[in-house]
Amino acid sequence: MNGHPYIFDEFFASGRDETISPFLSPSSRHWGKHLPLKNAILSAIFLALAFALSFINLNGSNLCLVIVYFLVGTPALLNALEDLRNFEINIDVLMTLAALLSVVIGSGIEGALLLVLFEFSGSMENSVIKKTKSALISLRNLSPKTAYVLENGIAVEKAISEILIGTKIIVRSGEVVPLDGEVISGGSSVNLVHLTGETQPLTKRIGDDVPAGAHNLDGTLTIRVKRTNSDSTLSKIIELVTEAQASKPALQRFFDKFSKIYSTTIISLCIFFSLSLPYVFSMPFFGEEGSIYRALTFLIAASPCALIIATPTAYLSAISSCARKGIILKGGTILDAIATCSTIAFDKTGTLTTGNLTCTAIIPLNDGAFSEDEALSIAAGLETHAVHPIAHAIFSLLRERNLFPIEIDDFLSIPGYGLKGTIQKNGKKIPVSIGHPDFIKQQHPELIQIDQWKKQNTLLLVNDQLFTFLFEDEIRPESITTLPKLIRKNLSIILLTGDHTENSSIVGKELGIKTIYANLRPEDKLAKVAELSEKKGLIMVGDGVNDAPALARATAGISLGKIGSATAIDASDVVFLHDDLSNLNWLYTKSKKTTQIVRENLILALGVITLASLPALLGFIPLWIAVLLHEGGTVIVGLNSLRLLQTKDI
Amino acid sequence: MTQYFSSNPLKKKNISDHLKNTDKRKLAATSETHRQELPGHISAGIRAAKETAFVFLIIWSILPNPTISVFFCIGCGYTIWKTGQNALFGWNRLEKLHRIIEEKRFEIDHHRSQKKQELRKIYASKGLFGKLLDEVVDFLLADDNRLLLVMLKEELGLTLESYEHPLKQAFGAFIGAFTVSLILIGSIAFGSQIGLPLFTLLLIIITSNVVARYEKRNQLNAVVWNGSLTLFIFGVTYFITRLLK
Repeated sequence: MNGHPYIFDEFFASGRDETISPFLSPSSRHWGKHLPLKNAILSAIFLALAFALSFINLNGSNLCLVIVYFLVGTPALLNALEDLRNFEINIDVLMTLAALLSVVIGSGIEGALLLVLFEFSGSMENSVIKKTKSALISLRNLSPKTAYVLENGIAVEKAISEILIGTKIIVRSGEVVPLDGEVISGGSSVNLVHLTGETQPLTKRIGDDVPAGAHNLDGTLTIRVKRTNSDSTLSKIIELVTEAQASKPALQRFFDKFSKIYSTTIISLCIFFSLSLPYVFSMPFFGEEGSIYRALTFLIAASPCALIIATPTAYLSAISSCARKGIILKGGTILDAIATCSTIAFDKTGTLTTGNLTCTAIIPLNDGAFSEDEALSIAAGLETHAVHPIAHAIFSLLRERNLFPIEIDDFLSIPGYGLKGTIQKNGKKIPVSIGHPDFIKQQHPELIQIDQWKKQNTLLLVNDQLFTFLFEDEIRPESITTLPKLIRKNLSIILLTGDHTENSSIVGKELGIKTIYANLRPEDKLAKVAELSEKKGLIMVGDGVNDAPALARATAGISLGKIGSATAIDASDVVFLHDDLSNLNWLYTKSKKTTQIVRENLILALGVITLASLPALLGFIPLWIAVLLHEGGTVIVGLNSLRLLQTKDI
Repeated sequence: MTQYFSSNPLKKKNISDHLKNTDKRKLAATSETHRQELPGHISAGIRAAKETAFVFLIIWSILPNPTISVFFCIGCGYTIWKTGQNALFGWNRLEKLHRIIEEKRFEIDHHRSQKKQELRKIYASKGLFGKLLDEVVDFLLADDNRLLLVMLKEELGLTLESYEHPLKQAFGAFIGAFTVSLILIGSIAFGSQIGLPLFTLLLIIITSNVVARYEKRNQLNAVVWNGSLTLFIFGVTYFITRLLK
């Protein structure tokens, strides 16, 4: 063991992948990596040798063929027998039958070629599937595993899955709230940035609800659990990924059904031609001019391998590359939907803006001896040990102004309320406090009327002098760079926001957005999205709970996973796990490329089948050319799909 | 996954019976393909080398005038057999182990109270009691990964991350069988009449010595016993062949 506990969940999520088997020594696991591909390469080498030796030494050639049939024929036979055991006649059965029949009619090299190429296409499909699974594994690693349950006053660590509704759990400072619940004792500031996009820390006191995923910043909270683990935000994201892997585009579902009927038909026709051709064209059953040879050539030429892998490999490759970029898709169909859109609508707060705070002004509210800069240094001194966004904003401004924090004595933190202490000035101790207006009111009740101050402002009290600190959300740097790229792709950009017109116009002007709909309530937003989706196809990008209806109604809804609310994530079709808006341009291009590659694949696959089947039956195409056309087509289709695995910026 | 668990593994068994039963599974699970003391691929290589040497020796003692090509064919076939056999054995074993952890995980997910009782029994037998025992059991039950790890170690005696990949074991066996085949064919080609038995004896002595040294056993004991066994096999096959003529 490497000093850290083995995470079995990873192994089970991977479908018992032997390359992460808990029993294998880490140094030997690489032996199991890309086994089908290694097997296909080794077989291809022996096949080439067999082909070369067939002109010089037939026994040597046959020896190499035996190796090829052992390496790639055994797995193919096993798969085919398993399918037959389940009464399923599919492409595996078709190919194995063709390869074995090739040996019977003395065309061993052609049969081996078929098996090797089939192994190659299988290994490509495997690697795509494996990559999509890895996204799920990394997500599962984020999921909290345990919580501290209060039993007779003692905190006992328990598995999240074991905790029932009504259980009392304790969440200490710095920990993440593991389950949704209600505070029954204690108080603290919590940061909900990962869940709602709300960057201001919220005070949580007895009776308040706290969602799972909230980061407890200072105090200790005792919570009564209100919902089980399965309803958490992360569980919803995992569900989304699982859905993405399971959901198949309509075209792919059609081909799945079609392949079974098609395979049975082709095998039946092959048998029919083998038995009937000698009576129609007076040809023998066996030999290169025989009916079995012709029927076999037809069987291989008409096999729909390329057609079957044309869509799933393309969509899986695209889904996989998106996952590696931190983009989770609900399924391949979403890529089709995105490709058809001509408009993108953005929510403003938290989507086009960072959600991170900057301190824009310090306003003295009454006269006193302390300057604005001194107030800033005092505030920084008080916030030295705090970790929430307000403290970060204060320190950023402090650095900007080249100031230093003032030393604080008698420091006291009141979790969820504020911070207080004293400073020394002219040999005198002066009381200072910073925090929520309610907290400041407690320090100096006669000084302020709380109602006149906006709740989100932070107040600083220095002796009798009061300052208010104003904070603002800043525009994301990637919004500035991404939007012009989208405009260049002929996409119309619009802003849909609940904020008032002045603020929206400032953001719109800075980002070059001409169409702005401000002062929208959620129902107005939904109506606008519905209207635009009907008309031209609309991508909606949002993060908050209020965006959820619009995200669900849009042609394609995109939410931001880090700061997005659980409801928004659930309602959307795409999740940007890293909140990186520049991925939008990448995703749009990728969706266009995916539809294009699917189209190319289908044309190629159908072309090969149409062009090769009849000539094969009529004897114009020998077996080896049929194999090359068929399997070559499959490999080209697979390789074409693999182009979508690229994650580099397009 | 559910195909493994058509019935409740704890059905109609009390906790003690279940623990006794798992002792049998523990034995089955820990009986190594090769000795546990040596890394799997080295052990596979040495065993394959020894077995190949014995096969060559037996054939040499039976056949009146075996040619090099006979030994070459036997060497090729036997090397492939040993390689394939080791790979298959390794994969079978891995499949069995994976199935065991699936079963354990299923038990943890669906029979938690029984698992709790088992844990209590295991740790009570280690001398824990009272509050400490309760705390240890609760701590282990808190995290499913940790619990599964403990059940595998304590209940089944399995060690994680200790087995070599089946292909690595197979490669070890290939190297062992192939090298010995080459050496012994060389001994026939360049040695005198007794080249092969002499080299076989030498190989057995060297490999026995290496293994005994690696496993910190009595080297002299190992060398003498293995050497004697080689001579014994040679003698028996040689004289039985002559007796039956």
